[in-house]
Amino acid sequence: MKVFRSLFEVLRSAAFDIGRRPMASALSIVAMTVAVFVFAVFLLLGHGVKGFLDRWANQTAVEVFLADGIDRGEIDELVARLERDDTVRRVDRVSSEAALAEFEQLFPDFENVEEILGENPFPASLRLVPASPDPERIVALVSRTEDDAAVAAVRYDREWIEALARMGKAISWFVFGGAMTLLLAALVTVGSVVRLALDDKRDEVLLMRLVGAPASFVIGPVLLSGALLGGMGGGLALLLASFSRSAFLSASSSSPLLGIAEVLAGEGLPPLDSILLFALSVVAGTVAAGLAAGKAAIT
Amino acid sequence: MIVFDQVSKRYRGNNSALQEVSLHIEHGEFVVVTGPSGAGKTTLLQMIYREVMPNSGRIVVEGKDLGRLSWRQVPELRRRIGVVFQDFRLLPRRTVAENVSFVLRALAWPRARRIERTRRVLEWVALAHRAHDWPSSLSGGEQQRVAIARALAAEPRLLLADEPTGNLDPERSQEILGLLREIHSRGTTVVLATHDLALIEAARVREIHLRAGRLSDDRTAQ
Repeated sequence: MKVFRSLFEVLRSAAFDIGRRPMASALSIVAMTVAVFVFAVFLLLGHGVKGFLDRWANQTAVEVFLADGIDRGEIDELVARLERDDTVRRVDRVSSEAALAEFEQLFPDFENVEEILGENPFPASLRLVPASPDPERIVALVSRTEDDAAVAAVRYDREWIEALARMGKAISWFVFGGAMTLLLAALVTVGSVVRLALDDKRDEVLLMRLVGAPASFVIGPVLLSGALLGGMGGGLALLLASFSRSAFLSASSSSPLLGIAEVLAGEGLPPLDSILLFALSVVAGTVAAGLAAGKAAIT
Repeated sequence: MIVFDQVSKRYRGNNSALQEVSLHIEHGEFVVVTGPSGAGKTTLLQMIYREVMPNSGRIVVEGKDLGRLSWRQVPELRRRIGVVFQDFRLLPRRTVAENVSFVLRALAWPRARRIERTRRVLEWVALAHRAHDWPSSLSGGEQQRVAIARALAAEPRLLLADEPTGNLDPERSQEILGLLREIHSRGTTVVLATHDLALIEAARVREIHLRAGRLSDDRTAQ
């Protein structure tokens, strides 16, 4: 019971500290809301663009042209080896007829190429869909496959794959850098508010120490008020981000920008990211409070 | 209850506050620590509740050697000690009752017990009728009585009063002395530091006299 009473007193004291300077506390919540909101928007856009890039990257295929004169058994063995490779998501067999049909579909002007050349110029091949668009893994896969005796040549669009990977990384760094800058600003604001509250109750802290209040009763409310300010800011930011996304999609629904809107915001923020963002705001508020209070709260 | 064994304290700048002070205060005693300003009275009291540590010597309070207490054990020691200051140190934005119950809240007393104890100590100091007033609306004597009520709230075994009448007129000083006597008569050990000669005369209790940080006299009241 004493533990619950102590916890209740710590909570009560933290709420009292926040209410002691309502304007400063509100400012602190707004700062945290803005920081986490922009973080959430960056993440949202990041997810949308990354999803779009991933879909592009998933269309990346490695064409494996088979050596002349190999029989069906050797092809089956090669396919089995490639299917066991964990860098390969899928192996499609492309017969010479299917390759020709694909070519004719892509270039209708050349639909009589077989008649002109007197034979089907396209060899049978295998089309590999890599498990990941990571260029290094694809290069390694290509290198392994090229060494196989059943393979005549391997082709893939290296520049395209590397460009996609670079773009994905750049987006991740942009989101991370922007978010960290904003979070730092929010930390300073929350820390200042907590420090002000602590300065305000210096007499109370001295008195608490004098009468033998446990250290948890002195430092607990300081940390908890930081956590509450951070949590309120984070919660508001997530609500705002969700509302803004819905409003953005709804406003774009009857405009030519719908496609872009769906690319940017269509995926939404995954629940795990939302939970992590909320937890991050709570932890950030607590850390800011702890750093701002420093020794003042316990010595 | 309190043992000082060859205790010395020097502040920065080689300012000596206490020099080789040895004394013994039994449980249930009423002791007045006297001496001119700067004699070391406040330092002596601060050492008892471990606000200040000696440079040499040993201090034992309630059987605990203060030099061996960890920082975690200090709050436990302080819960047994009530302290009253010359400048009252009341919280200006809390009512009289809140000033008293704040201590009990910090010690996680249950609400009902807290209310009852606050009411009782305010009755002792004859301020129950001012429970919901702000400290600033009270006279100096009343504020000091609130400070005493606050010091007594957590039922300490020892009450330390550092110049509690320093800001009061002679009549109010005698009131405070009467209150301290009553607290002592209920079984609480009282250590009062003062340089108020009239108060020392009226107290008629054991007097420990300090001069320039040294114990110059220790005499029991006749």
